[in-house]
Amino acid sequence: MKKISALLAITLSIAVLITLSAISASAADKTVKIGNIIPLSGPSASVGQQGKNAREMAVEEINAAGGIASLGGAKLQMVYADSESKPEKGVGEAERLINTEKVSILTGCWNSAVTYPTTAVAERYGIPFVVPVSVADKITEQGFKNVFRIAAKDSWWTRDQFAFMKDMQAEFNTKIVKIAFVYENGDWGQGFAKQWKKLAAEAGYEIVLDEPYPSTSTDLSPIVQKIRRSKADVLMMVSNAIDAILLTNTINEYKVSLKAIITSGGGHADPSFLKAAGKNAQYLFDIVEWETDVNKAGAKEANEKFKAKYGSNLTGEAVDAYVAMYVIKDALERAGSIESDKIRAALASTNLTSGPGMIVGYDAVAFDKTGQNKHASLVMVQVNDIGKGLERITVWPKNARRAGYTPVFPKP
Amino acid sequence: MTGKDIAKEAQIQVETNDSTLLRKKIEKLSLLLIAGLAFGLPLVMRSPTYLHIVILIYFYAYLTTSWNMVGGFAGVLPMGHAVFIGTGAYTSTVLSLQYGISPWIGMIIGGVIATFIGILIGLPTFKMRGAYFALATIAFAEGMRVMVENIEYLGPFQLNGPRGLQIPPLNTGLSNFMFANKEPYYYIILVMLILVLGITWFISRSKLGYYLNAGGEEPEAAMALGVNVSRAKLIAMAISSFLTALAGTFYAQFSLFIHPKSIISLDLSFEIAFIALIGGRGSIAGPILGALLLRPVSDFSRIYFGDVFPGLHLVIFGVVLILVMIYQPRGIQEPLTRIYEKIVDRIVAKYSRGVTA
Amino acid sequence: MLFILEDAINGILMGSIYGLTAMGLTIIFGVLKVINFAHGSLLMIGMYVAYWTVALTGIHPYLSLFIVIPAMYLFGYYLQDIVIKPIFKAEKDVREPITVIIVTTGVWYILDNMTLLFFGPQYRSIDDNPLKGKMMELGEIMISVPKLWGFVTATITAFAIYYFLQYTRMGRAIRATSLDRDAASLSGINQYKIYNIAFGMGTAVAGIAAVTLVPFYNTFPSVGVLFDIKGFIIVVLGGLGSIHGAIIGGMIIGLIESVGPQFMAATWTEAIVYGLFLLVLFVKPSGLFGVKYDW
Repeated sequence: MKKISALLAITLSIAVLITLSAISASAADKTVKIGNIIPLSGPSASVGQQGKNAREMAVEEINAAGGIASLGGAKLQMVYADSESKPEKGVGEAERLINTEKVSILTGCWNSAVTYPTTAVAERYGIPFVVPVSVADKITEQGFKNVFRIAAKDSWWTRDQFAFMKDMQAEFNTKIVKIAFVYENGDWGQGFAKQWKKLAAEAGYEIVLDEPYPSTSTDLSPIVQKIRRSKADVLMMVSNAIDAILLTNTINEYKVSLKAIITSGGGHADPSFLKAAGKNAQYLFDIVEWETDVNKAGAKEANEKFKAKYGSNLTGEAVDAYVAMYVIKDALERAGSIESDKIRAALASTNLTSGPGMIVGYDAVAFDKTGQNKHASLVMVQVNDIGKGLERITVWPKNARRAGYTPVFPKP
Repeated sequence: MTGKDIAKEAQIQVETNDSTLLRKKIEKLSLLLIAGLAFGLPLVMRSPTYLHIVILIYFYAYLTTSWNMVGGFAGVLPMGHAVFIGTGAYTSTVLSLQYGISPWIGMIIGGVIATFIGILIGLPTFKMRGAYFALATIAFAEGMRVMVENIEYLGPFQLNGPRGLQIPPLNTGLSNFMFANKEPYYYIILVMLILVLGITWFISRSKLGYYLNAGGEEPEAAMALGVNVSRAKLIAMAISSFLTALAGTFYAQFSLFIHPKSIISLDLSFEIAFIALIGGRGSIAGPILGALLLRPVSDFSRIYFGDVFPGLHLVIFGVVLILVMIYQPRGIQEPLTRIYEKIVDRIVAKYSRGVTA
Repeated sequence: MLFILEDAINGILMGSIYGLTAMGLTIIFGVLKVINFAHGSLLMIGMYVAYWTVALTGIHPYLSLFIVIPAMYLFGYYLQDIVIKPIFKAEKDVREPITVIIVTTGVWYILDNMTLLFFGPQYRSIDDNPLKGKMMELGEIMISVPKLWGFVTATITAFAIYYFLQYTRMGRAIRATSLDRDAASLSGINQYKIYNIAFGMGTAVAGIAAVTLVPFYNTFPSVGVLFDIKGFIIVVLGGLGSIHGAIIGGMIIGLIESVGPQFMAATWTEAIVYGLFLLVLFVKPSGLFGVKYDW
């Protein structure tokens, strides 16, 4: 009894110490509070941490550059809440951030399943909600006035994946006939698959496999066997990190011959994916919103800084979060107020074309009537080793392709 | 026995009668006080955040009280009650989204369906004991979640598979079971909680409660006495699943979004069982006390530690679980009841001394 | 036909590893009569121990067994001694103390999230281990080498434990305690010591399972949860407390998971697993190889 109490007491006192050190960091200056609901523990903790790091970096830069000038140099103050990837936690946290923390703007939540109900809360209170990345079409199609999304929506992702396939066939004179779809059985995967099926039918491809799998699978070799036996030319995937790693490794083990693997960000864009899958990921095509080799002023510097600070490259999704902070800053500058209506109006008339945060591949951030960033565009990258270890190399659209690189297609 | 003795005896009788009467009075008064506090709370607590937290405390207290009829009185450990929450939530939501039926009606229909499912689960599983029963209910709940995740359409009803269902927050009003602010939800769940407590109180004093108790402790002995234990358990299961499903509808209308991973999740089933065990299972006050302790612990530790030290809040939650179980294996209800009794004793003593003096 | 054979082999190999992950659970239940909800977390801890041992020293993954087994045994021994024993002492007269379930769940939360705090959410795998990605080709049939190693390890472990329980003095003491703890303590067996040893053994076996997983699987804080529910199903299917029941139960699950998807969507095989589980439970509540207790 005594031993255990001592043990638990130690655990608790560590906890208390940690908090005390954390709390002391609150500022007293004029601030604008931004609430961020992201998964920091639970199954999506890895992505959540990426998003948090990117936000932190942007906010540090903004504050160091003098904060919001039109608000008398007010600093941005970040409040983070852990959703654990659970909708009910997200909703509860949104309530708290709005009512108790009195945040002026909300951002989040990565998991579409958390984003839906949470944006509904924001809409009810009329608090502007900036969604850096949650790709389901539905999010900006709920008729909400307060929701603004930086990332492209899934119908654009899938559209570009098919456009890419078409261009590649023409460029390399290789015909793709049979395609296989493998995706996690969730909101995200199902959303992509629905679009894929439509696009495949329009383009006249033969769908040889349409396979959702539970994201809690411990053995994915049965799925890989199905891919192998389907004799598909191209495999398209939507996966979280853990299953992306497992699938990629297993596909290689079984020597599945495919002309190309086209993936959809998420797990395949997670920095730990490349580390864990290693050479097995070579020649894979992934669709992202941003890549480290993007031809844009400041992009390289931002990535170096991020890498030095947090030990991994910026991912497309992290950049969405990074840009979101600059979009918020821009809107606050123009609103000159922290009243929700004014911020909302300012966000709606956003047309951010330059400035330190604009490291994205496209020219401007501006929202359409539904709150969707209408300029958001995507690039395809290929994982390959051109002498400096495995890296992600932009290959499509052709005008964005890294100079001197020829994509490897079909996969040798 | 002399006349004097008789007189003395009678006096003692009167005195004890007096003090039991007094006890009853104090009990009634404190209950009234608590009820008054509960009903008046939204007048004082204006912050929707805290109201939200309190609503969830009541919600969990309600769920745990419903659970208690099987898990507490019948002496088994159901670990899959999320099945019934899911049934209630999905039934009322599908009916209101697709057919425009008021969630209040859907709530009752969901309850009836859940009752059938409860009996279906109970019939074979009540033969099992201990670990097997717990694991069987887990398997039922998980199996149900997998089914819902795989079903896009169940006949004419759209379940939407893993994507879940979203209720557009448009038509507020009592008949739509949807409100723009927290207070109506607060009062609805409060009334539901009071009703379910009343039902539990009634059952615990009825023949059914006696049978359940007997069957939970010594099933063989009870059966030898001619008590139909498994029938009593089935009735308890039916009531419990019906009541649990009602809370499912409440949850759907409160959060306006349901999907299998959140509403038929093991986390939810486990949390109900934890609250019951921490509070003290088989007692009426246990679920409420358990919810009052555990919910704030998990909410506030997540709020304060969630951003800087991801996961720390669950460490704290785990520590609390272990501590309570080691020091109060019968739940916090036991020491608290003792303290309450002591206070009442003192008041009674003081009062009766005052009378005789 | 060959396809099915190939899938069946994969299912049996993977299933034996599932069985190994569940074996510790069944050992602990057999003696203590409690379900250890922290078992997945113990597996996770084992994976981290194995991962770091291999990552830091660069030895063959299976050589890490020499570190993992003793480390995990001690961890389990003291976990039971310090955290769980007090509850048994407090509830001496209860045959299956339900409160222990709560305590082990508390342990689960603490271990998983402490790991998250210390090691972060990253997925870790050992890139250049000699087993990673190795395949054996028998004509058309491909067999994963690390899974084959896992299968052999699972079989050896099962036999070793069976032998230990049947033919050693300590093993007999453990079995005596599992059959009747009061009688055992009357005949001079220290019941709580046996509990510690059984818990240590169960944890060590989770460590062995962890070593078989590390060469081809990823290590991360919530990895245990993926194997947790599967473990419960396996041990009940095979019969709680039965060693060979765990292995065979695991193989059944592995077979369904591996062969099933060739006939339906993979997401439905999960439902089949639960369905079969419930069916067995109704027909033979003590599981396929379980000893019939009074439930």
